[in-house]
Amino acid sequence: MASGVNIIGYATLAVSSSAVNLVDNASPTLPARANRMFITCETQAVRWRADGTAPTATEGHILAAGDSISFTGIIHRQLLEKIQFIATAAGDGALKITYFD
Amino acid sequence: MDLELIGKQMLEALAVQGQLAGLEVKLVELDGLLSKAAKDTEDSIKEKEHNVAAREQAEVQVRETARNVETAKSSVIAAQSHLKFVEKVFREAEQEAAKYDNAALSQLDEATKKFEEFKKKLEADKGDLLEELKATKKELERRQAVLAEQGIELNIGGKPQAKTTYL
Repeated sequence: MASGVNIIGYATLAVSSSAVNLVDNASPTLPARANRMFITCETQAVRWRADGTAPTATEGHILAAGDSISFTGIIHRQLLEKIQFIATAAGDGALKITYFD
Repeated sequence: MDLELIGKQMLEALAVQGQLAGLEVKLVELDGLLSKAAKDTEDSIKEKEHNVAAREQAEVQVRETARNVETAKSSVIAAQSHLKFVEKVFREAEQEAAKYDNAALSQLDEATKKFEEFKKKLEADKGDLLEELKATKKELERRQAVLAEQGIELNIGGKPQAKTTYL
């Protein structure tokens, strides 16, 4: 994690068979000042894309249950606004998110 | 006049008349020959005039051809001169290219040497790493054995551990 960053907030994003994003579906939604985030995947594996196209159960980067991604190396504001998630199999999953500026 | 003399004179007159008729025929023949000679002479003159014109034309053509030959000679000389110039430029370009070739070959030799040295170093490093790997493996097995004696099992090659990706 880059030094000197400030924690902006914490959120949960429920993920199921339809693609969801941080701007509309996270609870709470993506804070205005958030530029970085750290996410952990709960019990259900998910896939994600940030290129503007929604992921599917079979297409997108896989994030296995228990794995985490640290989007903190540089300012990732655009990625935070565009990233979408979907569950890889039936059943609800969830992501836990901590935002940084 | 007696009749005998008259008859004789008539006979002589007839003879003269016959000769006169023959002379007339000869005259016609001579006239024909004369006309033919005049025509032949005229044809001969025309032919000579034609020959003179043809000779003059031929002389004009000869002079024209001579001029063309001179022009062609000049063109050949100019082309030879240009060819010499091109050959000179080509030789200079060849010499220049040879310089670059030599420089490139020299650089290639240098790069090849460095590559060989790097390759040797990699081979050496590979050997060192293999030795280090063997030693590490032995040390790991030793520690596994120690932990196993204490009832602790290391998860090596088993279920994947959760991982964090940094971006």
